[in-house]
Amino acid sequence: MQLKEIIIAVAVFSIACMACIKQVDVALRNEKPILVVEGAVTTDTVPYTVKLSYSGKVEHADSILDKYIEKDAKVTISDDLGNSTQLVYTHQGIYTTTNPAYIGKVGRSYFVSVVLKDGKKYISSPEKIKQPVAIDSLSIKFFDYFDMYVPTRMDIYVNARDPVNEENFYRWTFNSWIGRETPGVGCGFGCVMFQYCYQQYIDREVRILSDASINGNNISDQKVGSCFIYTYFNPFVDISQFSITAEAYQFWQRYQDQQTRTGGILDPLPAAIKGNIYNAANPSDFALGYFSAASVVHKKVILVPYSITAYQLELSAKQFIPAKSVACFDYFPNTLSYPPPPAEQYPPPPGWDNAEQIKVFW
Amino acid sequence: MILRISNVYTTVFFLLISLQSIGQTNFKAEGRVVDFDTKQPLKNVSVIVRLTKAGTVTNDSGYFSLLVRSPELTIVISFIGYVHITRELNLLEDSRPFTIELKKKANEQLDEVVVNAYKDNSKVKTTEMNVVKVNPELIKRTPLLFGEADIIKALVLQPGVTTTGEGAGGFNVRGGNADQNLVLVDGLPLFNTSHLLGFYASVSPDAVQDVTLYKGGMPAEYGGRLSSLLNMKIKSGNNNEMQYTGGVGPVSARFFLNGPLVKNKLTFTTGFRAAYPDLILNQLSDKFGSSRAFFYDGIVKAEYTINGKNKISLTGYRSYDKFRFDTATAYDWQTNLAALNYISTPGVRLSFKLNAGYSQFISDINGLQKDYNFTLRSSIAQKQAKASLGYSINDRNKIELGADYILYNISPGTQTPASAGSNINAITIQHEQGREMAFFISDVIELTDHISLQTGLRFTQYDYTGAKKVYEYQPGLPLSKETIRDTVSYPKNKSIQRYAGLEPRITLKIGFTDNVSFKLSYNRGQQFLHLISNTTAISPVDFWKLSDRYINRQIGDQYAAGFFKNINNSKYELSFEAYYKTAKNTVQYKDGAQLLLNPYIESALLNARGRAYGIECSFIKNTGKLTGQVNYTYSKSQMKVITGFPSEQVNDGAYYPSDIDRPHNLAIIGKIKLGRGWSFNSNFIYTSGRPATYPDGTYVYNGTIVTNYSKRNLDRLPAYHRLDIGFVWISKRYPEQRKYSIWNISFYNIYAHQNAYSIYFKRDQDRLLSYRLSVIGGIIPSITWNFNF
Repeated sequence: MQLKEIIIAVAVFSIACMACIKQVDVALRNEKPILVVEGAVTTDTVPYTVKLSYSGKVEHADSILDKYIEKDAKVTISDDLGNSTQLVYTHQGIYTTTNPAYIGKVGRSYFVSVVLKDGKKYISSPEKIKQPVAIDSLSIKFFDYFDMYVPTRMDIYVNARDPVNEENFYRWTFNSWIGRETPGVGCGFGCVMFQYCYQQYIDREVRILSDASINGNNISDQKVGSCFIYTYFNPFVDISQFSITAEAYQFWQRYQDQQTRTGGILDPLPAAIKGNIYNAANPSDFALGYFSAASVVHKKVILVPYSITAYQLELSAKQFIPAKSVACFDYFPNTLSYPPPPAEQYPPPPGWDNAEQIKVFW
Repeated sequence: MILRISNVYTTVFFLLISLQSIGQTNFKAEGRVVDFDTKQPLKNVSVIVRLTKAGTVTNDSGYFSLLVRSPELTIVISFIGYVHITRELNLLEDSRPFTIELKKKANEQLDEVVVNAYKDNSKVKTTEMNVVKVNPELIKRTPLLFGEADIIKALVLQPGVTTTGEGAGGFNVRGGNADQNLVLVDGLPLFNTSHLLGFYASVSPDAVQDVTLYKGGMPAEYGGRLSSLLNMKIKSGNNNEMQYTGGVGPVSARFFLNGPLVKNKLTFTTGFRAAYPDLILNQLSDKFGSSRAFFYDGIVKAEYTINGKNKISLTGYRSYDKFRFDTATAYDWQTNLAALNYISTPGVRLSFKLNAGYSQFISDINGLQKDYNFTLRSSIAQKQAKASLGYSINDRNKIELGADYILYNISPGTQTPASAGSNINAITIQHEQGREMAFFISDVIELTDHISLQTGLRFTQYDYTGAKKVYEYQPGLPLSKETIRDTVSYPKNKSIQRYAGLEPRITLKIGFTDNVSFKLSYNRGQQFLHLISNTTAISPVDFWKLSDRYINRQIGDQYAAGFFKNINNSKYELSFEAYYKTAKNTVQYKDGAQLLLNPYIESALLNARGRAYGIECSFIKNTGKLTGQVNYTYSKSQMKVITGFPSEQVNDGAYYPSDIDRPHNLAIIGKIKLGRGWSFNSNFIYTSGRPATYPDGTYVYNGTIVTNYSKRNLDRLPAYHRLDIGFVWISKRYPEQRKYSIWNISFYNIYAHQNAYSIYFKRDQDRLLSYRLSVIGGIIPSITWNFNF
């Protein structure tokens, strides 16, 4: 009488791979070069720079080929009151301001104008410098991996309080000097000659935050960078907290989106990172990059790692570099070198003389 | 005509009558065709007078009416999937309307291909074009993925239907966007048609009585979406006996039952399905390592027969999905749907339908990071009531008219902190409300024996209503938060923006012979709902938006022409359908736009226009040891962004390939009867790769090398192709056999082709490396066992 129908699904998986990622070769188009402008005016009293280059088949970030550099442009930074200053070309596409009195002020708007050899003029949309926001404190956490391949490191976090009565957008940059030692060259009978130095490490990850969701609340545990630990030397850390405009925040957001694409299902679609620089005569002709104006607050500290032992340092990954010489500059780029120990003779890099010392335990 | 000379008087009487009425058709044979098991009327059943050219098809309520010259005739009633019936009539003796009950074909060996086989010539005879029908029961006997029968995967084998790939929710019809498909369950729409990113369709075939896809030019009774109508009717319940279906597996479990509660009065269907594919996701490499996935769906329907002329039914459907890709975010979404349907057929010529219900879709994003945890919810709800009246003026002219009323309510985004210690603030984006009123009239006329015309006109008036604060922007500048110059508050139910328009629907059929017909159609549709999504496929972060002051209604026009031929008494069918469609006011996004939780969403959207054209060719073999179909479509789908501002332009304002432009689309479906109950099934699919945006330059910024993409969609992914095979064994030996089993052993992607879902680029020091992501990269075997007793 009863009709019974039972369906049993038995799924047997003998899968070669699922959700595989494989490297493949893809033919790419090449479009004509586009001007790239990178520069900023801040409330820091240092010279401001504007870097001009072109897009193409760029291979090295540190040394751009001549054909991708713009050397012959006329670059001017102006503010909303009509004060302007002309920049001078130095090297590698970088133009710097020469007037020490031209300093970014809160409440003023700034823009850049780039006139190329062929007469084309690119200008940026003006950016207004916002009120700075103070850094309350730093939190440091150890990441004690103690692994052959991954060095021990300290992660640095910023704590601040977001002002409630305005819209704030933040960006953090991280500049540090960490201690390195060269592998050493034998000098006979158990003697090893080596050198200590400080290596500059600038964190290139884009760290930004908008207060849309947290307005008026704390910014807690915002990671700004890491210091790898290779030697006994105390790392020197300089954290800059920029108060940027909404447009600059959106630019960095788009930049970050494109750098972190994984090709997965929820990725945003690939797109050019449009900034705020366009051809004055033809607004649909865009240059890449951004010219921003922001206020900045620094926090310079010396981190003092306590109770790290030689044993733990031995375990911390060291780069296996064939010994060729004693000198630091043969092994590590961007270093300040010093003669061999004792350690007390090592002065801090310029600017850190009176920096706060933070003891870090683990 | 067969002459039965029974007695002299009958003959003389007959001759006298016919002398008086030479040249007139003055006998009428009328009746109704219903399904033997469910007693539901069957529509489009072919009723042919043997040995003549006369014939017709049944209407929506199963009624047919034939005018014939002779009172003695034999009619043949046939319909796909049913045993045909021949009936000898003598209209002099008895000309009352009669009912014919067709029995479903019991012998699976004679089953044709799953979809679109019109063995009885009805494809040539009816005015329908652009239509695909699916038999849900037969999907289980085709090669399956993960052992689950899936309606949408079966539709994708048909010309004109594609998806963006495995792992993509939604489907595309004739180059239209995934939000342009109206998917109905007993008359109410589903806003999300798949579980877990497209691996499973939302509704199990076990629950569905029939499925029809209109690829354009849906009947005037329906509207609101431009590209297609996927109409699913849930089973009402077998009238004679209880039927149970159930299953358990490592990936999913389901249980469905239907039958009578009170025989011939009250029948019901209910079922539940749950899946826990963590197993699969954990295999999906490191990308999905810490993943969890779970879903369930359930359906309940009861139908009450008030009397022979009135039936009322109530349907309820609920589905819930939950999944998590990584440790930072979890997603869950749910659908709640309720529908009420009432049908009344007071007479042979008259029918009256009423439909009312509620459908809601809610989607949640849960941020799990300590100190920043939150829940972001977006939802859409639709309430509707529809009424329609059908009247057959005569058997060549049937009219239908009716009205709809729909209320929309959308919550685009509400963010709440998930715990007291969270730094996230609560944000609510304003609700959206809209109402749609429509009137329609449609007429199916047989102008001559060979020419028939289906005309319809739909008039829709849509209002975007308050309560809402609407921003007014400075003219002459791109819309942006900074250019707002005023905010106007509208009270509840006041119309903020109105769009109204006519939607004509016309199909003309010209039958050259009994076996060949040519059809032309023109259809216009309007759409007031848009799915806001800037990922390629439908994803959990999408949300719906109503047309308002800044987002115009979409208007679509489709022209189609088709040629249909039955060869050798429907042994073979050949068809060609060509179409050209345009869509105005589709929605595109500014690069890098923030869509979620954007109170000024209109400043992130761009107006676009689309056009698509193609030719769909289909060849079907219905009988013999080898049956199958070859479907090939060549089509193009393009779009362009329309803006007066250079900063918003894409590809310099020219037409470029849309995300779903796949010029070649080939599907070969075959079934070979091997004897002793075995059959071999296979599907082969080849589709051109989707357009993609590849980098076309690199530069240095912030000390790192950045890849630049200056053009959109000018490149293309590699072509997609795969072969699925399956072996099916049925133990049924004779039609009345009650106890039998069906085994289905399937291999999905038998030659393990790794089809690219996307190609992305990563820098490795100095080089730009390209990687291909494939969602399924191996063979997926499955074994399914059905048994009946």
